[in-house]
Amino acid sequence: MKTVLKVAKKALPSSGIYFGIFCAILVAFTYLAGKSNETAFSASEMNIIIQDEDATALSVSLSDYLSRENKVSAQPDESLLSDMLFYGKVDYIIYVQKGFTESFLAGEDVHGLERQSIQANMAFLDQKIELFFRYVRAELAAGKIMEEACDAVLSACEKQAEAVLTESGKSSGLLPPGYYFFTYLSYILPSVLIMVLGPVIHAFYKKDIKMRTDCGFVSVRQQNLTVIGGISLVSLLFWILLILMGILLYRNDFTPKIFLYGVLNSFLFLLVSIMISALIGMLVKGSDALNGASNLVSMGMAFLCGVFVSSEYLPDYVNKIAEFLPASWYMKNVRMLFESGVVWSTGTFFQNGAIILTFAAAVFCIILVAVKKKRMA
Amino acid sequence: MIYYFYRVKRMFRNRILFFWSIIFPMALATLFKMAFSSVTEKDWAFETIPVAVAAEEGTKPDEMLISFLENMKNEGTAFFEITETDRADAEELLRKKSVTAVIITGEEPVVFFRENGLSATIVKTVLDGYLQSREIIMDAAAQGKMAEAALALSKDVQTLSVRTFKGASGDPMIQYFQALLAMASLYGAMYGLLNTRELNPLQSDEAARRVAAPMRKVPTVLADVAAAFTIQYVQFLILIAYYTFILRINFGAVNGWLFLSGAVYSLFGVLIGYFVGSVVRKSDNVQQAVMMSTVMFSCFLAGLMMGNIRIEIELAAPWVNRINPATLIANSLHALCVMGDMKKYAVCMISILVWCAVLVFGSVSALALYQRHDRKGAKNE
Repeated sequence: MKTVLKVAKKALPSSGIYFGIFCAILVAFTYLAGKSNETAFSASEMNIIIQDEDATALSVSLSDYLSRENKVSAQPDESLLSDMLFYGKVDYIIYVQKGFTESFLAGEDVHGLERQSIQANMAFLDQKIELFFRYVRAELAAGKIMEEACDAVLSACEKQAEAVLTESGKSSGLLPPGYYFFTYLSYILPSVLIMVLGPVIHAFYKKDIKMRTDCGFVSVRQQNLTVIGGISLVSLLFWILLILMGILLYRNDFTPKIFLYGVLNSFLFLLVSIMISALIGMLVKGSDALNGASNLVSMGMAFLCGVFVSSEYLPDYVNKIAEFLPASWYMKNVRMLFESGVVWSTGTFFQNGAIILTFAAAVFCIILVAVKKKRMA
Repeated sequence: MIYYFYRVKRMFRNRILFFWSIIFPMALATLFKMAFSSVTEKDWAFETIPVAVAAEEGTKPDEMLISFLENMKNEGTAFFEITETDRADAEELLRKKSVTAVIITGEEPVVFFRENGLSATIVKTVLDGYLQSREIIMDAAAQGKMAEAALALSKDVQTLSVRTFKGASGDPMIQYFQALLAMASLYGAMYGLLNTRELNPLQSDEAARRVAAPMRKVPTVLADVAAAFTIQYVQFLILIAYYTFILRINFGAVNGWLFLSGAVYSLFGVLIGYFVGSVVRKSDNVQQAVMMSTVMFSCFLAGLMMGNIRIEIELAAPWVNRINPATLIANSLHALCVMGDMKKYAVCMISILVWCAVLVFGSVSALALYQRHDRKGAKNE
C-alpha cells in the first residue's frame, strides 16, 4: 500500500494539473449550464429579439404584445444575430424597418416587417403576429386612431383562456446548479481517475517491475488487492476533494436529504470509475494512449448517457445502448433527486445503485481476467 | 528532404500515437452522430398537434372555435388535428397521451394539458387568439362598428415576410463537430511535444544520439516540424473524409478554403506542442498533463462538451473567443462552412496565424533562455 502511495505521490504534479483543470471545467459547466437552461427553447417562453428601426406606436405595441408571454429584447450588435439564432440563444428575430407603419397604413402591399428563425415550429409566432395586425386593422376600421387602436388591442389581449395542468409532467422550472454539479461529476470522475490512476497502474504492471515483484514472497492475489486498495485510497481522496468543493460552492442548493443521497450515488459511481480506470490503465500502453482512452470513455459515456444532452432528446436506440453503461443509472438517480417531474422512490434509488455496483463488480472481474491473461503471456 | 522522409516514416510507426490521435476523434464523431441524429428533428420540426374538443355538459359544441382551430395552417399543414368528442372520452385521450390538449368549450373555453412544453404553448396561444378576436368584435359591436371590424379582421393581408437564415446549415449540432475538429487539430500538439522530447538529450536517448549527429540544428528542427505537420494534416483530411462520406454530416459548404484552413490548424496544433515542450521543462508526464489540460479546457470553451457555450462567452466575455485556440478554429469553420462569412473567417485565420507566430517566438525564446541558463550552470560547475 505504501508503495502505491509513493508512486501516486510521484505522479502528483501531473495529477494535480488534471484535477485542477477538471475542477475548473466542472465549475464552468455548472455555472454555464444553469445559464443556458434559462434560454432553453423547450420552455414555453420564447426568446425573441426585435430590431425596431421604426419606433412607432405600432411597432412598440407589437413588442409589448409579444413580451407578455415571451422574453423580448433588442441586440445592439447586429453582427451577432445570425450566430445567436444558430446557437439557439434566440428563437425568433423580428426586423421592423423604417417606414413599416406607413406601409401598414397604406394597405395591401405591406413591407418593412421581417422575421428570421431556423425552427419550423416557430410558425405559431408568425400566426400570433399576423393576428395582432388583424386586431389593429379591426380597431382602425372601427374608427380609432393608431395609438388608440394599439391600446385597445393590448387591452383586448389581456383576455386569456384558462389553462389547467392535469398532472405534473416535464418540469419547466430551473434546476439548481447543484443538479449540474452532480450531473457533470459523472464525466469528471472517470476522466480524472483514468488520468491519475493510469500512470500508477502502468508503474506496477510494467513487465520488468511485475516480474521482479512476482519474485517476492507476496502472493499475486495480495499484490492485486494492494494495488486496488492503494488506488482506491487515492481515488477516495480526489472524490472527497470534489465533494468538499461541491459543498463549498453549492451548499444552498441542497437539502440534507438530497445532498446525502447525491453523495451516496456519486460514491457508488466512484467505485465503478475506479474499476474502469484500473482496467484502462492495465490495458492501454503509454500516456498518449491513456489520454485518448480517458477522453473516449468519459466523454463517450457522458454523451450517450444524457450528461451533456438530456436523454429525452436522444434517439431511443441510444438510450437503450446507454443502459449498458453505469453513468446512465447514475443519471437516473440524479434526475430523481433534482427534477420535480420525476417521482422520488427510495426503492428505485437503491435499485439503480445496485446496478451501478453490479457494473463495478463486473469490471472488477474483467480486471482479474486481464491480470491473469497478462501473467500467462 | 531525406531526413524529413525518415521522420515522417518514424512518426507513422508510432502506432499508439497515430491510432489515438485519429481514432479518438473518429469514435467521438460517431458517438455524436448517434446521439444528435434526432435532436433537431425532435425539437424543431413543425408537427400537427392532436387536440380533443368537447362541449361542457349541457352546452352545444362551439362550432366557430372548432372551425377557427381547423383553419390554422402553416404552409398548407394544419396546426391541429381535431377530435370532437365528449368530456369523458377527451380526458381519457389526454390520459393516454393520444392528444396533447383537451379544450372544453362553454361560455369560456378551458384547456387541459398533461405537461408543459412548446405544443401546450401553441394550443394556448391559438386559443387566446380566438378569445381576443371575439373580444375585439364585441368591443367594435358596442361602438356600432361590428361589420367594419369583422371585415378587417377577416381580410387576408400578409404583413410579415420571412428573412432566410444565411447559413448553409441551420443544424446547431454542427457546432459539436466543429469543436471536435478543433480538438483533433489541437491534438497535433502531441506530435509537437514528441519532437521536442526527441530533440532534448535530457529527455530521451534518441535525442542524445540526434544531437550528437553531424547535422545542423535548424534543418533538423524544420524537418521535424514539417513531418509532424504532414502527419497531422493527413489526419485532418482523413477526418474530413470520414465526416463527409461515412457519417454523412452536413458540414456546410466544403471547399478549397477548408483544406487550406486545415493546413493552418495542423501547423497551429503542432506549434502548441513545441511551445509546451520548450517552456515546461519537467517530466514527460507533467508536459503531457499541461498539454492535454490546455487542449481539453480550450475545447471545452469551444463547445465540445456543452453546445452554445461559444455564444454565451461571446455575449459575456468576447475576448475569450478572440484568443482561445479551439474557439478560433471552430469559429473559422463556422464562418467558412456554415455562415459563408469570409470577413469573420479571415479575422479568425489571421488570429490563428498571429498565435502561430507567438508560439514560434515563445518556443525559440524559451529554448534560448534555457540554453543560456544551462551554459551558465556548466561554467559554474
